[in-house]
Order: sequence, then structure tokens, then C-alpha cells
Amino acid sequence: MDATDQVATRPSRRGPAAKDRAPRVVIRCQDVHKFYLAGSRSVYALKGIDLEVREREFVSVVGKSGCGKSTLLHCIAGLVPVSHGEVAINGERVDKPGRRDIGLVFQTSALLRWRTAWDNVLLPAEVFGLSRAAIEPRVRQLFRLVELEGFERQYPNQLSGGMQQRVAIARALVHDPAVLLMDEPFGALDAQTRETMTLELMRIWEATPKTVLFVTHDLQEAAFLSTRVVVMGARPGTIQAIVDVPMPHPRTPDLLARADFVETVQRLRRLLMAQ
Amino acid sequence: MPPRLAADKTDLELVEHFYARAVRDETEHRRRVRRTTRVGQVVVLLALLGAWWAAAAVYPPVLVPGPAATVQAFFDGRATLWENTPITIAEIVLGFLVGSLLGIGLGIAIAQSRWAEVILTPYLVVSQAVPKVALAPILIIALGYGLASKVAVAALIAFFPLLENTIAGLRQVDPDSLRLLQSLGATRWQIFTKLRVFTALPLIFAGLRIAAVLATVGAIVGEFVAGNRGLGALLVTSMGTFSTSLLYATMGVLTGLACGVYLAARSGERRALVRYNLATPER
Amino acid sequence: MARPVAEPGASAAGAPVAPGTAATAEYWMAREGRAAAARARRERLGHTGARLLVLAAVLGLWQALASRYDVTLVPGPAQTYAGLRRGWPLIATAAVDTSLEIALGFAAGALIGLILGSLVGQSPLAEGILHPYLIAYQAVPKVGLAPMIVLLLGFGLWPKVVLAALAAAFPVLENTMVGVQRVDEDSARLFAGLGASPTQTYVKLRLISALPSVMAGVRVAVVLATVSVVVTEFVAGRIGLGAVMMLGYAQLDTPLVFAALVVLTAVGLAYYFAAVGLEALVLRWFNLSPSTR
Repeated sequence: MDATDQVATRPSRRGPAAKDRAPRVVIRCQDVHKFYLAGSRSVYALKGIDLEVREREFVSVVGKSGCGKSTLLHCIAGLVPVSHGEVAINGERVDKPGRRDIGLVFQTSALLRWRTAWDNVLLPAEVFGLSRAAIEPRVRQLFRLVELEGFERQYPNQLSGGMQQRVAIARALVHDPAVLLMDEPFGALDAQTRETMTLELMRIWEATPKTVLFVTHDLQEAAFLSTRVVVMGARPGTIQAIVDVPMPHPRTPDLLARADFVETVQRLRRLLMAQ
Repeated sequence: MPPRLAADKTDLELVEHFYARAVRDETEHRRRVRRTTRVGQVVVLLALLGAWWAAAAVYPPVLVPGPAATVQAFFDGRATLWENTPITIAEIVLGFLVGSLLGIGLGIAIAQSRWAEVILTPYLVVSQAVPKVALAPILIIALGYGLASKVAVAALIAFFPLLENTIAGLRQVDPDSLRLLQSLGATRWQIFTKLRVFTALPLIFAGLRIAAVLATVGAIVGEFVAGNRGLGALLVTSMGTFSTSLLYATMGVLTGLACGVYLAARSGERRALVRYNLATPER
Repeated sequence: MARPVAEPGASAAGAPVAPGTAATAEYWMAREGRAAAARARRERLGHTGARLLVLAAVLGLWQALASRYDVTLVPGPAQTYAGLRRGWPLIATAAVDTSLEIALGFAAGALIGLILGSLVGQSPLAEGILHPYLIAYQAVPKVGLAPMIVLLLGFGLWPKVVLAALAAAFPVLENTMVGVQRVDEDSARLFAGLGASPTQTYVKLRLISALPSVMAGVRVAVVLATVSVVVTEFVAGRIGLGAVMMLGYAQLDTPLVFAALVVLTAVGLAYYFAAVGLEALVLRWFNLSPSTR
């Protein structure tokens, strides 16, 4: 099972909450290639990517640095055009950025330092031209969800790294997108905070029915959060394998010590080492 | 949707396929940008010349001489221009040299003593805001109408930014490199010559570039006030006698001179930094 | 049972603490902190004292030079003050004129620089086209344009304002251009991902992000505006402190020249510190940190 076979159109296995009717595909990548020139170098970032992410799935993408996982996320968000192939979200093709059904979270929280946490969360609503009055109850709710009640008036530089990311997550959720795209959101945090935030994210995801695509380099984090883990290889970036993580949700920290979980993480590690 | 890229193609073939396309798009894009830029630059130039020509047509020649009249005045007045230009050049060069030597020298001296630096910093900050050109009349009264006063003005204005940049440059030494040399038991002089001088060079060269431009300003202002010799003086006298076309011709020469000074200073800076493999500082 | 060591002056710090209590460590740390703070205060006082000493020394030297040499060449502080009092009505009006010219010229130039810088900063094509012209604009000393502009606009207020605007525009333009471009990468991606229009991205992100750089440019622009105004007044010589200086210069009334110079210095400093204050205010309002340039 550890063969690094090229993934063609392997049907993805469903998670444990399977119904008879398969949940619909929310993110679909078909034969996605991304090639670009960076100065004098040429970078074949993505080659032949086929990926289907279904509703309510939590899919992580792992791989060594430079394997193209961030590029994949940017292509799905429409931030960069693909060189070949097609990306579709909710059935509609992605060819430029600005989809209202996605929310983005970056490694650097990208909070605007001249806005309070509250105003930062309001930003997407402002850009979309939504009425402030209509959105504000939702913002209050989101602050409660990310457990930052009372910190609405703080500026980003007054908040810790973990708190900044929680604000960033709230901001990504304010316009109630169907899809959350997260690019190593905990990468810049220290190990302790990262553990806390992983549990936080788990709790938030269980409270809100979103489809999540989560890029990370931390295998344990990926396995703990996800229903499936996509393992990518570098140069050119391809999907080496997709590993199911069938343990039931909601997941608790004691999962980390369970033998079957540890074995899954080991399997991921072996897949990465074999590259 | 376009057909799948054949799975039987090797990686190399795929790369070649994309690479060819990317390079073609890139060169196409670059060529288009270059062309548009050139065209745009020519358009702007023509617009400026056109505006000048239009203004000359509307206003009397005593106020706005056209390009033709200016070129004519350039030839007619070439003796005067030929006579006055070297004077201005001399003032700029001497003012630059004096100002630079003093600025760098004093900068090094002040940077050596933390104490002197702390005491003098507020005065330096304040001196930034004082218009040093205002000292021109006084310097001319004190030093006369000759070369010396204009050189003094130029040197005075050029001196301050160099002083500041030298001090800042000598101060901004990387603490780890400093610790390394100290741990090797280097003397203060060795640390200075082997480390501080080099970290200060980018800022010093930037300061020299600024000083060159400021020396030009100083020379011109000095000539405005003294009004006897040099291109600046020529500007003022032709203004006073309403010899506007000569004024414009002199402006042309002065512009050329100033651009020459600036470009020489910039290329000198760049060459020196490349020679020592230092990064170009931000202006 | 050990007693805490009694320090001289312990009474100032309060009663000695009983041994073995946790407060002891804090007590010593507080004392140390107080001592350190006191030391820092003394050092600062010493610095200020030394600076005042330098100032006094310079003034004294000036007075000494003046008394030794011919007073018509180098008036001392006393003569300068006398000249100030003598010429006060003239100098006062001139100060108002000069201040007005600086303010108008700077405002116009900064506004133009901000607008143009924003436009050019967001268009790489425009920047490429204007690049050689901007270099030429920077290289040519704007003061050299004074005679030409005076000839066109006369001897009144406007040539000074125009030249000051020309001089002030460049640093603001350049700094705005750079500031608008140097936006945090992920923030730019955020706005792109939200599908924000260029205007939205400019107003909500780039402009505010550029403010530290813009304010640094404003600081430079104020000084350049002051210099331009002075030089134009030298050339045009009817209103303003520069004109007063030229008047004194022509009549060899050096005390008047020095007096006008002192007032001019005060005006220049006032504007500079106003710019510094404005910068601090703007940065605090937007919770930004100052530009490193």
C-alpha cells in the first residue's frame, strides 16, 4: 500500500458518516498542470493533478517544501491561472480570483494592522458591499466561536500569534463561504500554540459545515484534522498518494496515542521519505 | 475542456512543451511592454515640446521664447556661456570635495566617540530643517564675490547629509561581525578598517551622490546672490534684462550640467558598490 | 535567625523585610530597578546639560568672533538682536509672507505628489514610461528654475509657491510610489482572493500601507519647500524673509541679514517639527510603525 503510484481517477472513499448517496463534489481539479518561469529558472509546480474534494470533507495536503502545495491552493483560489487543465468549485470553473464561496487563511495572518480585530473580520463584507448592520450579529457570533470575545477592539499587534490566526479564521468565515482554503495557517506559530490551534480548528470545523482544504507540513496535524490526506511529491509536483483517515469525528486528543492513528502518521512519513 | 496531456509523455517532453510556451509568452510580453514604453516616452517628450511651442505661440517672446529662439540664443551667446560654465563647474567640484572631506572626516571623528554622537545628534537633526542656502548672503559678505564664497556655500550644503550618512553608516555595523572581530582581539583601528568602513560604504556613497547634487544647488544659489560670474549669475542677469531666450539657453546648459553631475555621481556610486560587492542602499 | 542586611538608606525604601519571605527578591529587584532608573535619569540630565553647554559655547564663540572682527562683517548676538528690534515691522511681515508661501507651496506639491505617486505606483507601465523623466526631474536642481519662473510669474507670492510645489512634489511622489508598491504579499493575495476592485485595494490597503513612507517623504518635502521659497525670494526679492536678507545684503546691513536669518531658521524649524508631529499623529491614528527609510 506504500507504492508511490500515480493517482489517476481513483474514486475517493467516503468518511465514516457515509450516506447512501455520495456527497457532491465541491472542489474538482482535472489534469491540472502549472508551469512558470521564475527569472531564469523554470518551475514545473504541478503536473497532472486530479483531485476531488466532497462536501464537508477536511482534506490536508502534505509534502516537502517546494512540492507545490501552496501553488495548488493558489490555483484553486484562482489567484494564479493554471497552465493546463481545469479547476472547478461548486461546479463553476475557476479562472480568476474573487469567488465569494471561498475563504482564505494564510500563514501570515495578513491582518491589516490599522484595523481592530472587529474591523478586520468585517473586511470581506465591506469588499462585497454587504450591509454592515446585517453582518454585525454574525461577526459577534464568530468572535464567540473563535473564543475571542472581549478582544474585538484590539489591534493585531496587541494579539498573540494564535489569536491573530483565530481572527484570520473568523474573517475567512464572515461571508459564510462553502469552502475554506488554508495555507499552512499554523506554520508561523510556536509548537505549543500550534497544538492548541489544531484543537481549536477541529472544534470550529465541527461547529460549522465547511469543506476544508488544508496545506501543512506537519503530518500529525494533517492526520488528526483530516478525513483524507493528500501526499504530494516535488519536482514536478504530483499527487503521490491519498491516504484515508477513517477515524470518526469528533476527534479528541487521546486519538494521538492510539495505535491505528500512529500507524497512519507513520505511513504518511514513509510515503514522504520514499520520495 | 482540452484533452488530457498524454500520460505517456515523459516529464522532459512535458517540460519542453510548457517551457516553449512560457518563453514565447514571456518574450512576447516583454517586447510589447518595451514597445509601449518607448512609444509612451516619445509621446511624453513630444507633449512637453508641444506645450512649450504652444506657450511660445501664445505668449510674447519676451516671456516665453520658443525652442527655435532658444537654440538661436544658444549660438549667439555661446561666448558668454563658454566663459561662465567652467566657473560654475569649478565651484561645484571644489564645493563637493571640500564638503565631502569635511563631512566624512568629521563623521568618522564623531562616530568614534559615543558621547560626542549623543550630544550632537539633536543639533544634527535640527540642522536638517534649517535652510542652509540662507547662509549664502552672509558667506558672500564675509568671503567676497569670488570663487571662495560660492565654494563655501556649496560645501556647507553638501556637508551635512554626508556627515549624517557617515555617522549612520559607521553605526550600523552588524553586531555579530563586531563580536567576531572582538573575540579575535582586533584593535579599534583594525575593526574600523576591516569592518566599519565597509558597512558604512553604501551610505557614504549615497551621501556622496546627494552631496554632488547639493553642491550644484549651492553653487547656483551662491551665484544668484553674488550675481557676477557663473551660470547662475547669468540666469539672474538675463532675467533682469529680460533677455529671455538667453535665459532659456542658459537653463539648457545648466540642466545638462546638473544631469551630468548626477549621472556621474550615480555611476560612481554604483561602480564602487559593485567593486566591493555591497548592496545598493535604498535612497 | 538571619536578619536582612541593612543598607544605608534602607529607610527610604521602607522597613526591612523579614527573612525568608518571597517579597525579599522583589524588594531587591525593585531597588535595583530604581537605581537603574535613577542612573538613566542622571545620564539624560548630563546629556542635556552637555548639549546646552555646546550651545552656550557656540554663542560665546560667535560673540567673541564678532567683537574681534569688524562688526559689519560678523555681527554678534547682541547686534543681531538689535537689528531684529530695529527691523521688526519689516521682518514680521516678511515672516508671515514666507510662512504662507511655504505652506501653500508644500500643500500643493504634496497633494500633486500623492496623486501622481498613487497613479504611477499602481501602473508598472506608467512608471517605466516616466522613469527617465523622473530621474531628470530629480537631477535638475529646481532652484535653478527660479529666474525663469520669476520672469513668468512676477515678483509676488506665486513664483515662490510654484517653485516650492515643484520641489515638494518629488519626494512625496517617489515615496508614495514606493509605498503603494511595497505591500505585504499575503495581504495583496487576500484582497485579490476577495475579488476586490483596484480602487478598493488602493483605498483599503495600499494607501494606508504606504502612509509611513509617504509621511517620511512629507518630512523631506517640507524642508525642500522652505529652501525653494528662500532661494526664490533671493531672486525675486520683494516679499519674504529672503528678500529682507537681500535688502540687508545690498546695504551691507549685516545685523538685519542675521536677524532675518534667525527668524527664517525659526520658521524652517517650526515647519519641520510640524511635519514630524503630523507624521507621529498619522502613524498613531492608523496604528502604523514609522518607515525605516
